[in-house]
Amino acid sequence: MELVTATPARSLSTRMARRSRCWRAGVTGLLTAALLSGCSQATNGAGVLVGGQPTDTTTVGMTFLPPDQRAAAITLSGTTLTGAPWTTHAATRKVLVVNVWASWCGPCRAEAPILAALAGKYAGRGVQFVGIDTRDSDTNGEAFTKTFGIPYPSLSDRSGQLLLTLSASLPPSAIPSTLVLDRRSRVAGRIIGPVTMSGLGALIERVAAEQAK
Amino acid sequence: MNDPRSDRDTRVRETRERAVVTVEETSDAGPPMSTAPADPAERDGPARLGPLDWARWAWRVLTSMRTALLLLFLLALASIPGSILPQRGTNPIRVTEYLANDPVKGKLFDRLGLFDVFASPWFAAIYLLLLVSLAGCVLPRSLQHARMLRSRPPAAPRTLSRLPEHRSFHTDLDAQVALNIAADHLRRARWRVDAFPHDGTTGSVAAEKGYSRETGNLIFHIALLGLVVAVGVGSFAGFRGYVIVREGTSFADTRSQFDSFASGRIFTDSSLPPFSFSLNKFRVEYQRGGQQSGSPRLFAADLSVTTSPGQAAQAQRVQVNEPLEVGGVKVFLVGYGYAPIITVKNARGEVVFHDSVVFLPQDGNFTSTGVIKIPDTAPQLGLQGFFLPSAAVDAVQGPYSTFPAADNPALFISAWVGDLGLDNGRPQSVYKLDTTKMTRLGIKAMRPTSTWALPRGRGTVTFDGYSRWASFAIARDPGKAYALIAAITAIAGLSLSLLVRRRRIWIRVTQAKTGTHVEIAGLARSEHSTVGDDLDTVVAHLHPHRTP
Repeated sequence: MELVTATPARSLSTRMARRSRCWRAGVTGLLTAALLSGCSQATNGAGVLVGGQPTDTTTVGMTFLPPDQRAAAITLSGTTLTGAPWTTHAATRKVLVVNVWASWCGPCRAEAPILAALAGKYAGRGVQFVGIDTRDSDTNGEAFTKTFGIPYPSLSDRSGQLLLTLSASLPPSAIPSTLVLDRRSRVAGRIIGPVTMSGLGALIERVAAEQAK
Repeated sequence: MNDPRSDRDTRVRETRERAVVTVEETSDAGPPMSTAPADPAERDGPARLGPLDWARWAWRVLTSMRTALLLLFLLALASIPGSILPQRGTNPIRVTEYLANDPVKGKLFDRLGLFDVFASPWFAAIYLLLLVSLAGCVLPRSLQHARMLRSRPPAAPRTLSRLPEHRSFHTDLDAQVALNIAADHLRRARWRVDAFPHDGTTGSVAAEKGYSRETGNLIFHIALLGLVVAVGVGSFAGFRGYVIVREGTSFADTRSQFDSFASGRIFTDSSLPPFSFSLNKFRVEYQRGGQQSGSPRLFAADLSVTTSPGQAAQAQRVQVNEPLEVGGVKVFLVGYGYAPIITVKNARGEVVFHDSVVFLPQDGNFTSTGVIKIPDTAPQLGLQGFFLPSAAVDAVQGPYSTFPAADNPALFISAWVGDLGLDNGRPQSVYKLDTTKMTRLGIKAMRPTSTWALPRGRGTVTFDGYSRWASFAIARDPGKAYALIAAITAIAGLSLSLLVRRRRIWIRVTQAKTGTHVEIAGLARSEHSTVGDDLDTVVAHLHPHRTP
């Protein structure tokens, strides 16, 4: 006749099993969390802007669209800071560089000399520059262009209406941002954040090299 | 989970219940009246574990209540750095300042994702594990319960007298008749009844009621899962932005026009609907005199809204709790304030600055502070100070406002000259003046239309007047409606699981020479059961036929 195992022994082993289970549960949880966090991909499409200025470096960057992925042609028309009318017809069959800026924006002030230099370098070579001064008064915008000697016109866009028309494929999501339109007025490239001489220069060369069809 | 008691108490209770019935009748009371999984520690003996067994063990641990509680605790712990350190989502300027002031610690924290806790991968891992744990526990139990819903009540145990509630008496009714009366009564009271007719010696009736307790429990957990998913979907695909719009200016719904913006991972900037509105007038009226003097009686923003470029503008009024709905997006009126209009001329008399500048209110009477930066003059100028709609000066605390309406507007500013720090390219808050590279020129109190000639011939500052601004929150949350439905369903399920009592009743009749011996016994799942009352009603039903 077998002795039925007494209950106290089982409760002791139950207690020990329970304690080790608790410990194992904790370790498992932490290990799995660590594993999953390693598997996740590098970030972050949800960068945050303050006053339009990018403060998260992961949203800053350059995007280039090959010709078959570009959206329809864009027409921009507005008034410059000096009050004269301007449309994209002035840049037909030319590469158009559109720079979105504001006079109160620090990164815009840092990139202004670079843009002025590039505009001078590409003058008369089939590349046109135009600025869009947004969230700013015309007086302040004019003072900015005078300070940095910006040679190209800037459109006045206090209300952001012009930027609305640009939001189709590659919207200029930050202040500053720069769009490069190809010879058929389609958005070919975008730089979010302040431009560099080499970065914007390379983008312009790449788009300019394409033939207008 | 099921109830606040731990699995341990459940096991103790079930052990106690089983102890009441004798050892050889362990299975007579029927399967346990819940779908809680059996305790793996009670399986006999250690076994060699293969990889499949390890996977099964890991799954069992992950979906256990203990792990869910541990993950909830970790979730709470993970939110602590989100409260202590500045977060990119709400205060990105402060994050940049932190990184600049303390690059070593700042870089380490950035690498660990502590500046953006709720978007970091480890937070997402905890959240996902919690979701998996919840789903993995609830779904198999739902299947089990669905199967159990169709089960019949178990047959009566041999010795009814050992059950917690027990009644017995004699009656002069025929055994089968007594059984039928009892069975009918129970069926009318919506018990699930199984009758085993009298076969000459004994007959019995088994009844069970209260299945909806477990149903309610499972509805609650599935609805909770649905709520978590709905909130997740809402934040994944939604966005929220804030913008301050001055009277006379407009806002276009594109990313660069927001003052702050946060969106979910699958949200793209081009999915913002292309509406725009202009703030024609911001109306505010205050209570004057009486106990509530100074509180706003009305504030409303009169807008002209265009649904997309080229459409005709429509006049709309937005008030607090009366948002504007356009393009699937809601525009809420959040706050308002004053924006003085300033003109600055340089030494040569050229206008170098002209605009309305947003000043932020500091108290209920709209004592507002602000900064005006004039970077396009050499050397650069900066102004900072107070705008007071109803100005008064106190000897100790300085200028302050006595009433929120613009009864006596004044501007108290100090002028600074030097380097604003804007040209180095680092983004700055427009509400803070960095005076580390500047010297103060002087201070002045100004009335509307007055001009201040700055010391040392630096130029002139003119206070032209003031306008108002209104701040708006613009948001879209696709999961909101589903979250509401899930929350209501969860509460309904919880109520069901707390109010319904699960119990079993057995009736056994034995034909004896002295009459019919009737035994009724009941068993309940929860402590606060009313099985005794149910038994008493059955007894009362048979009462007229009872002999003492």
